[in-house]
Amino acid sequence: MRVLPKLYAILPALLLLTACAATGPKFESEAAPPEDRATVYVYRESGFVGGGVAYTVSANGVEIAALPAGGYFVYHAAPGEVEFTARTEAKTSVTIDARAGATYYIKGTIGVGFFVGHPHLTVVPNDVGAKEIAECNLVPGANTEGAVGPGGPAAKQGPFATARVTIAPADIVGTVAVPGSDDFDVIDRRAKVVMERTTIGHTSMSGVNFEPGEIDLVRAVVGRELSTVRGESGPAPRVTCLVNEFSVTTPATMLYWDVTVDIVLTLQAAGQEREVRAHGVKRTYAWPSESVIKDAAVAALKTIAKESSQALRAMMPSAPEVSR
Amino acid sequence: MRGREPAVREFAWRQRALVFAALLCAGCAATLRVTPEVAGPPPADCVVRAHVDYAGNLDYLPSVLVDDPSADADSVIRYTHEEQYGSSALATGVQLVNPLHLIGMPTGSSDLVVVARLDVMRRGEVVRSFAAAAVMSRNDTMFGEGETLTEMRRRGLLLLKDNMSSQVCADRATTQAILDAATWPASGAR
Repeated sequence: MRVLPKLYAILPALLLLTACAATGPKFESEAAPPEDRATVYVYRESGFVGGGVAYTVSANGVEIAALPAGGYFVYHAAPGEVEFTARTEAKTSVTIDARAGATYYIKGTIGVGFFVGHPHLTVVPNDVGAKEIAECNLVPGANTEGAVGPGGPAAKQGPFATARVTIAPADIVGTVAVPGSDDFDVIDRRAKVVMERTTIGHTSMSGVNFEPGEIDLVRAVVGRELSTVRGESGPAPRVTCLVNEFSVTTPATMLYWDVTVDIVLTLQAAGQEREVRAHGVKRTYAWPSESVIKDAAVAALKTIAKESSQALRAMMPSAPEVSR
Repeated sequence: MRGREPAVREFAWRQRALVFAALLCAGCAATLRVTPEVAGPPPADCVVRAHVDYAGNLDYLPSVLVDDPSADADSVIRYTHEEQYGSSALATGVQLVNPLHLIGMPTGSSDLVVVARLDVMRRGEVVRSFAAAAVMSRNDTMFGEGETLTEMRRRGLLLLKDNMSSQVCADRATTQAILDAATWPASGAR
């Protein structure tokens, strides 16, 4: 009878270890990978510790497959930057600059966490990857083409779906034409892009996407102010706008969320620089919905329009002084 | 503790607090080194116009480079960058039994080296080159990775972008002369 307690202790561990092992065929490199895409092998070697934890790997936010110990899958990436992410209680992320026809290996591991193991993804040299993946088994049903909707995993619905916020720049600054790229540059200089809906303890609930994107919104708003200033002052020097920060955060308390949009720009023209800042906050006691995020973003962009206008006038000596 | 002087006890507690704080800080520590060192950011009016050959994200292209389709077709500036990753971790058995990990002692580390190269080319021949590298390292703890490799890569590439811009601007007269020269190498040049 004294054996039973020991069995009870061992059984869950055995179940954890066996439940998540990859069961597909042994690794074989693709015979004819698509020429217009990069071939990315994502794999995880077998291991005892953390072997029961499988984590979902996503590429540019689209779920590809759950990666168990000893498993691998193939992903055909469109050329350009592709960010691979995985999350348990901690997030890991690595980005490759995918080239058509090239092959990449991304290695997954798991480290000790507080409650559950932490996933870790890293890019390894092809010779190392090709050697280590040889003992891995294919994960069946992976979303190899990164399809969304039919053919791929359904887009998440409900409160934890990515918040999609549509803003019409014309509502903020009217319909003045934006200057061409010869006269006006907008450069994304954000060291870290924070676009996240969080709850208490900074626990992530979902990402936030703007339509058009943040940089295009800045281009539209500052560009239209530049056109207005140029209309008043005549020909003006080339203007560069560095986007140092454009973030959405939703710090929460037990009672409310403060939906916060922070924008920091540096405007450069005629050898001068001006920093322009905006801080839009909307408090909600119900839910940080798309409309609340939109209100905070519009408030911040209106401030940016006003501040940019003043900064541009200050940098262009021939512009008339206008109090706004 | 009985029989020990209050001052000794206080010292012992201070020592523990310092060790605790040091371990927490060690968990967050990240190192960064960019080479070569440059004097400062490039002047805002520094621009080099040429055909630019770059296949990556335009966010990382040095801001001084302006792709000019009307520039001399024989002159091309080629910009490339690549990343190398490395990682190390304590043996899992050690991680599981070491209580210091509970207060933030690192369980491993990740390294990233980003290298960028800018070549000034005339008729397919490299006549001038600039290079820069960023070496970054961060510690992993039981509570998370801190900055992800994606964020580290982006930070490194942005630093190299500025570094390369400064290098090109410091050498702007020569670089633009090479790009604009009717023939290169001119007799006696180089």
